[in-house]
Amino acid sequence: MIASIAPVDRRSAAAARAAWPVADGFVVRDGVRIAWERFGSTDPAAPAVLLMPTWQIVHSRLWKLQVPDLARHATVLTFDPPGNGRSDRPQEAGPYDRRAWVDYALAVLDANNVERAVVMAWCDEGQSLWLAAEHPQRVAGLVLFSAYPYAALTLDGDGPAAAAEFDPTAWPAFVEDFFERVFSEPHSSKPLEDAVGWGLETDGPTIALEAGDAVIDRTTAAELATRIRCPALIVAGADDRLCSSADAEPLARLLRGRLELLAGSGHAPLLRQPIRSNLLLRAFLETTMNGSTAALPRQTTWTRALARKRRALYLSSPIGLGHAMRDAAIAEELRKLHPDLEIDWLAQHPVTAVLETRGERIHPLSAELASESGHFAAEASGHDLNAFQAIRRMDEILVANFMVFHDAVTEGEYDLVIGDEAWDVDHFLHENPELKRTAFAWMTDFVGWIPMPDGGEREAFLTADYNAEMIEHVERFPRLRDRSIFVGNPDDIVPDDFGPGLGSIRDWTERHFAFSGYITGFDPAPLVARRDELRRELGYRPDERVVIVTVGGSGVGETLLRRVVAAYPEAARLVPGLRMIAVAGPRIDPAALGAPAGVEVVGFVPDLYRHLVASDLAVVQGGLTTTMELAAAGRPFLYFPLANHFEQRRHVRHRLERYGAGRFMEYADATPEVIAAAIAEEIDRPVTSLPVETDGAAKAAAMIAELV
Amino acid sequence: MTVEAASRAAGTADGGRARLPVRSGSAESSDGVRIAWEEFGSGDPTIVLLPSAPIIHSRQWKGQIHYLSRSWRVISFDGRGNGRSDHPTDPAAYHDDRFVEDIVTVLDATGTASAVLVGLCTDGVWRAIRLAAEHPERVLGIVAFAVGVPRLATPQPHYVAASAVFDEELPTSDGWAKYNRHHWRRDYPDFAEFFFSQMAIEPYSTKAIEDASGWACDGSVEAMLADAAAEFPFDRDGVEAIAQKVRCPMLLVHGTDDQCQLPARAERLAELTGAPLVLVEGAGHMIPARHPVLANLLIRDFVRGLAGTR
Repeated sequence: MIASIAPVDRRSAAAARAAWPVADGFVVRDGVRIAWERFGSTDPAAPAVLLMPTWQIVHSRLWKLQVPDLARHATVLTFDPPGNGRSDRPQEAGPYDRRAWVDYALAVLDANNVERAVVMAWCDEGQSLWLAAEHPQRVAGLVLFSAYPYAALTLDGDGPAAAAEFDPTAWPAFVEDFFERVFSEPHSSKPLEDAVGWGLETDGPTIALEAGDAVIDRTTAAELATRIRCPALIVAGADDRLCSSADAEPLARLLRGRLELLAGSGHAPLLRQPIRSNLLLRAFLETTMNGSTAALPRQTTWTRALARKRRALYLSSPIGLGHAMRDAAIAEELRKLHPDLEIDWLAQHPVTAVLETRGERIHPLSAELASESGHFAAEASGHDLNAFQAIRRMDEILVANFMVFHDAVTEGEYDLVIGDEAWDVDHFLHENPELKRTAFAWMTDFVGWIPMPDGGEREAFLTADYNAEMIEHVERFPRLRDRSIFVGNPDDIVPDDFGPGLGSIRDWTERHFAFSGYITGFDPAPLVARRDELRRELGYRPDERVVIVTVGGSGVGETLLRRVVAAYPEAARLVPGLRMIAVAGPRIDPAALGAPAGVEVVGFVPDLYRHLVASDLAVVQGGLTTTMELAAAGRPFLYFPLANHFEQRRHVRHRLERYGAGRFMEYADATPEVIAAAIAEEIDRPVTSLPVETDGAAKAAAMIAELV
Repeated sequence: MTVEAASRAAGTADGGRARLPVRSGSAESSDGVRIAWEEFGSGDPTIVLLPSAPIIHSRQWKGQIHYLSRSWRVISFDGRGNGRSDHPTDPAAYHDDRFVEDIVTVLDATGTASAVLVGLCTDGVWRAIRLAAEHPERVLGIVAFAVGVPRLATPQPHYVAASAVFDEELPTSDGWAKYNRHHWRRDYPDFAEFFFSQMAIEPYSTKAIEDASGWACDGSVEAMLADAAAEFPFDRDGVEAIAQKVRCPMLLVHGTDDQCQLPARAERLAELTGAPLVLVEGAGHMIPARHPVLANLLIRDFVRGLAGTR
């Protein structure tokens, strides 16, 4: 309800106009004067637009939010219907017949020397359909907002026909009630006041003159629609309380036109969703004039901003399994802060395997992603993987996957993108900053490409060049990363420089990142507390010394597995009761390992982590996730970073040494004898490493949650 | 480093294809030269990515193929003189007409009645224009990167200077002096690396330079010399007359820092044909490689826009 309605002052209303007519006048038909206005270009080559009147409860000012924009691109004509605005108020039924309005429209076109126009209508009651069907040479295209003629009236008794039955003296109350139904969206006071004001420029007795058959019936509307051949666009509010949007789709089909559904919108998107409406009209005008409407999708949906759910698109790096675990944990924490947050994952193997078991929603475009984990597997050779060069040689895949990402955010109405080491998104957003459409939270557990000695001067030059570009990207476009989260603590940052003259990695990272602490993805404490019980459950006897050798799920670790199992006889001699279990994983043939007698070789182990907690010692590669899981569980372990893998050899090792966790092993120097001796030394050493924090996921989620 | 060794190195540098072809083959042109092609994706219209041959080959479109083939059928092929196509060494094999014919040969071999042509520099752009002028029914539209239409405006001065002494033994091999017959024979990888450092003139272009000089080393010096010996058969009036015959939609994209083709050529072609020109401020010659997202979206919008005009 609006408390009171001020009397309408046409002059003051006019004073607020954003665009003024370049010409105005009247056309006269059967003695009825119809007022028109022309806006915009006087260039005869400019496209022309005719904005049609609807039911005379309003007049041409209903287009107030469209005229200024359209006038920048076209010659725009409006006219007032008989009975309102500056047009006459004839006191007989005839002029209110919508077929008569076709003549008014043609007369307005003629008076302005416009041969052909794109016709735009709101709640058309037949006038525009008749015009387009019977005068196709005058109509270049047709836009129908909230199309009345084909829609079932959902508001019994409040339609135009019913108006005649109204007590003419109760007109103001009717107008107010009617427009409250039109503007079903919250916060609509201004358009509601405007529309009520226009309604009060006419009166009940005048409105009551209209005959019952003045407007088109459904059958005729359908018949006319099949005859119309020009490009057509139907725009329907999904919450329209007057004309059901369910009828918009069949109407669009009859017209062979496009349909745009405005979710959360009522009957008057022109006044309540003006920017979206204007962009639709602009695009329709442009495609109609250049003849490219066929390329457009047949149906699109746009949701009114405050009717949207909170939505995030989450990208989790598929290089290693660790990102998936921590990202799923962050997502869970985010939902605690925003229970209504919808998260889609643009993800690929092996991340999808983790997400699917947790019931997370995988974006369908994920199927289009080119494989990053496959590329990394192909880059590895023996116990050697140059991670910097592998990422660098992944350039083609990164472009491909950025384009998939771009399609997903363009179509998806997301509020937020979270990229956990999503190199493609971060790099190409900085290369194409105009493509940013959402808030962006960037996460990583290392900063800085570091050259490996084998790469020589060339690799030192290249890593510095990549670091320099990254620094310049971030410093030039601080608006792109809305949050930069370092998964770890400042002390986890390596003491290296970015390269000659580029400064300290740690200084720069501390200036540009917030720190979540490490994110394990789960809390190991309950398992650790019942470790003895766990050993019994898993069949490990108290007197056994259990060593578990695991290299992750890829095929990369086969050479390490072979080397470690070969150490078993010597290790068993040094450690009484030693039991060695080698986990081959899905990609390595257990028979191919040549394991000596006594070593148990197993394929896939469900809940491997429980075995690691129960073990006496683990032997692993140098990846961050598994080593930090072991650190969190307080287990002793040997880790063998891959040769030439800068992340494992510098970043991860630095972090593990800070925690005092695990023992670094150089694969190249590790003969079976060396490995056996290390097993014997470490298996009984008391673990003194620092505790690993368990609140990292919640901390990261709290930083991200502020963005939605 | 020998050419062969460089080529192997380049093969490593250029791993990680984002999408493999659904079909590949080779087609024989009228003079017996085999042209190797690959086909990706499906969907109308077909997009043919033209090679900048013989200096590089079809991998130049590595940043485009995955994206475009998600929506459309895409054909790429190695131009004569590089990649998996034959490497003839007779200058007659590198006559302008042969390159135009090769497009038709590939269209026919792949059962492609008509296509959108996407090209870079003379080898792509000019041959696309000729085909559109001579066989308009085969060309739905042209996206022209680095609009290298010869004669339309002056060439880059460093080419003029180097070409004048191309056959002479020079006292130096610095800079554009590497653009020289004798230097090519002595150290072609050195030329290739220099040349592509000029073509990808933007900072942080190491990968684009490595890729392209690797592809250059997949070709042969003899093919490059034969191509250099082939005379361009049109004068300026001839070029302009052909360009004005083009009726299909065209989009021109040119970097303001292009070290191969001055923007004046693109501007003149835009004037002659009415085609829209996108100037990319601060970009060099190899826009699809160095600015792949921009290139992809420009091609996408162009192809989408065509649908309504047919």
